[in-house]
Amino acid sequence: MPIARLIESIRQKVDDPSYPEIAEWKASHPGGKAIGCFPVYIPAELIHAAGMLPVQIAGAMGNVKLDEADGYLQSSVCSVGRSTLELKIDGHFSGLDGMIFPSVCEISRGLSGVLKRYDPDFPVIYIHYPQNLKSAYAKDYLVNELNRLKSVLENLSGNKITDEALLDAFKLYNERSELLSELAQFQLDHPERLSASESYLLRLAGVVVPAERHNAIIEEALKLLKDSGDRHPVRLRMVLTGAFCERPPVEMLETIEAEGVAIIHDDILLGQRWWVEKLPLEGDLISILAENYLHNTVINPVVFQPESTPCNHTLDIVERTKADGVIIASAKSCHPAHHDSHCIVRICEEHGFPFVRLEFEEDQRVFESTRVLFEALLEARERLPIAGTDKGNNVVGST
Amino acid sequence: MKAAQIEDRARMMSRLLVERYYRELDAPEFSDRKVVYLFTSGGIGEFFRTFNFRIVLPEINAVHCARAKISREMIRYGEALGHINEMCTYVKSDLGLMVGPPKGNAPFGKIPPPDLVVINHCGCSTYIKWGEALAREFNCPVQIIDVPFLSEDRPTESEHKYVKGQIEELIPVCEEVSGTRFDPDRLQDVLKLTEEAISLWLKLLQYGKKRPSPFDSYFEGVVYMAPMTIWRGTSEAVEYYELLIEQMEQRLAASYSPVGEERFRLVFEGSPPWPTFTRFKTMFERWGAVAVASTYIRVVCACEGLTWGPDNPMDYLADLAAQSFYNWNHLKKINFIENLAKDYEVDGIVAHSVRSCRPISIGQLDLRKYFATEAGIPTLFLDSDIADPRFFSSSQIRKRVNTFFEALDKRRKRAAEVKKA
Repeated sequence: MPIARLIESIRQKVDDPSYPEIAEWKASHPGGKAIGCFPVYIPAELIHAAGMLPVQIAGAMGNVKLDEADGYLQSSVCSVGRSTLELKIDGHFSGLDGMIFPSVCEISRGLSGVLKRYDPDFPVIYIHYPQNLKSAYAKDYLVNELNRLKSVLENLSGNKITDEALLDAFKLYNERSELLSELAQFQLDHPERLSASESYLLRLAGVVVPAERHNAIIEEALKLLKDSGDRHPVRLRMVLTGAFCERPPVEMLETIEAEGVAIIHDDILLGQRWWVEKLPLEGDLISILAENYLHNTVINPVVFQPESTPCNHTLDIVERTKADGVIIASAKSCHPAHHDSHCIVRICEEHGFPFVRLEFEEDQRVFESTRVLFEALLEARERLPIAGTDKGNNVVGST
Repeated sequence: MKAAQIEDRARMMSRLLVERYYRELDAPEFSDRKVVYLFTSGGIGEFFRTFNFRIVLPEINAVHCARAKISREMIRYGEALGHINEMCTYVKSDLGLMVGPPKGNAPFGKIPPPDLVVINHCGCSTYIKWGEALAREFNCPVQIIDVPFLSEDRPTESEHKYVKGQIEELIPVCEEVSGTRFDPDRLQDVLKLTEEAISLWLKLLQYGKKRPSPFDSYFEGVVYMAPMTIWRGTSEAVEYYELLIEQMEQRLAASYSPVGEERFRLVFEGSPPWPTFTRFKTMFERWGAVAVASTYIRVVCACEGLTWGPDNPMDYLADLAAQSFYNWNHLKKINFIENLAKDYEVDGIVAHSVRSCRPISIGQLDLRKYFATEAGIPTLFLDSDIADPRFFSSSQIRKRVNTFFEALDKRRKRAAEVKKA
């Protein structure tokens, strides 16, 4: 099967808000339970080791109409928060046996409380990850949190999380990290053969299906890509940052790519690529998870890392990938992203990187202003040299 | 003594303490003292006081910009720095004041730049980004006290140990920046004053149960909470609350109500719209409505049920750091408000949602749904902002307030008729 067909088959599935794969998985795993995971990061290894299916929930990708949820959450709340609630109200979470919310922002926190009240019988777990990564007390605290989560998952699944099962899960997710790194490297090295929207869809395939199947999909995709030819025109190579939580519409990326702008690096679905290095396989496994959260986490906007902020990280990536510029794409009402976008803009200005500032919502369907913005960027590029410190080359806009 | 004179004394004293606070921030006699920036929710100023720090609270700067009617201008400066429209207006206002053209020169005082920024991450994740931005702009060290969100009613042992440990880890940092050695005896003395002020503060809140309530827990409470915020751990705070209690007794003896005649008793949830505070207040006053209890004044000290005391200073600090209303989980908040409504015998609840503030606004619509439809307590939901006057639609808010009270009035008349029948 050619790569285009594989990607097209994934696209059709991700547009279904009822998560049909959960029912499929449950049919083949009698008595199996599925757990929803709110972004950005949830230790899927623990869920897998409990014999459960981790399902990465992040809104409805614009596939449900926000109606009832607006009676519970103000319109100033991000789309992912409101549509996640709408999915629950509309019955799309009937396949889920519980949901975990991490301490990424007030929306995740508040939504966990609203859901608990909306359906007291639906298990909702909230986990606080330490923000003080340097504190000597953070590890013990996180070990305690992870053990609490472990015990809740054991009760929900009826399965004991054994060291053996957890070690197998570590290996499986290490394999996924490796495959996704390979995919990201391919996107960087060969944007004319793998666009960011295609890479995104390949990652989206893993939000519901078990990691084993997702790994197989990525493996197959990588094989197909190696034999594929050039399919995308590349006039400009840019880095996209700010879309780590709410998922941007695939069409937004396709609009950008249609202008010949390749996104060679992005932070979409960041939770899938949370570890910088693979997890070690020897020692107390819960301690390893905690230790790695503190010292092996990808730089991101929801963990306090004053020495290596997302702003400095963006600069490093642009320099490392020799990108032509930065796309700062923040979800509407996403405060962590908006706060960081301010200093990323400043870094771009200081270093003369061309940049485009976008705001998106998961249910956005019209991208004309995005197209116009990138047209302007390309026109400016033709007029002025792109690299170096030419500050006149920046294009700032918002859609 | 006339009721009006009683009111003036409390208000005036609070104003004088605020003025003195800002004066001392820039006073030549204190210029050798280093400056620490802290946030209010779960802010443990008393700990930093023992290192002789001058303590700056960026949120309080934003409040005073709003009260001085310059927040719109400061927000514009903040936006010019690249902080876009929908972000926290406190952040934009404070950064506009500190980094924008005024460079810290406000009508209420000159704000010194920080030598250290401490992010007490308690209920508000924007604190992290705000603190990072301030540290970046002023090129100073930044530290964090990460306070886990209270998933249960009280901090768990693990949460407590984590917070306490972080405060202890700050001692060498504070010693180095301030040049002052940590003195555990001094900390204990300061915390004894905190405990004393808290006990008076909690006593004050109980006055709302009286009929008529001698004070308004929202429109006056936000004035009365100022010493608890900026003068924590000082004899000034203790003296202030002693005076306040004395005045409450006087008001009580005179059957004084801050609205003249108390007609409606309310619980208020959410922060006030500071730039239009007086206009907002008048909308309720004219209906004889009194906030006999409120949640916002518990942002600096939700002190009911603290486990520890000054004899265990670090434990006490950790307990105080976790105790902010906005660090509570949704169900705990709802239960608490429902208990307030019962204990203070209220006619209704008012929730003021703040468009640019997630910690305050998230869950408020659900709260209204619960109280209005399940608990049977009339609830008014209003929406504007803490610092940006553009979000305050006077006519719309007035209309909703009037409709609410008209409905309460009818409800009361119906109940009286039923009783009579």
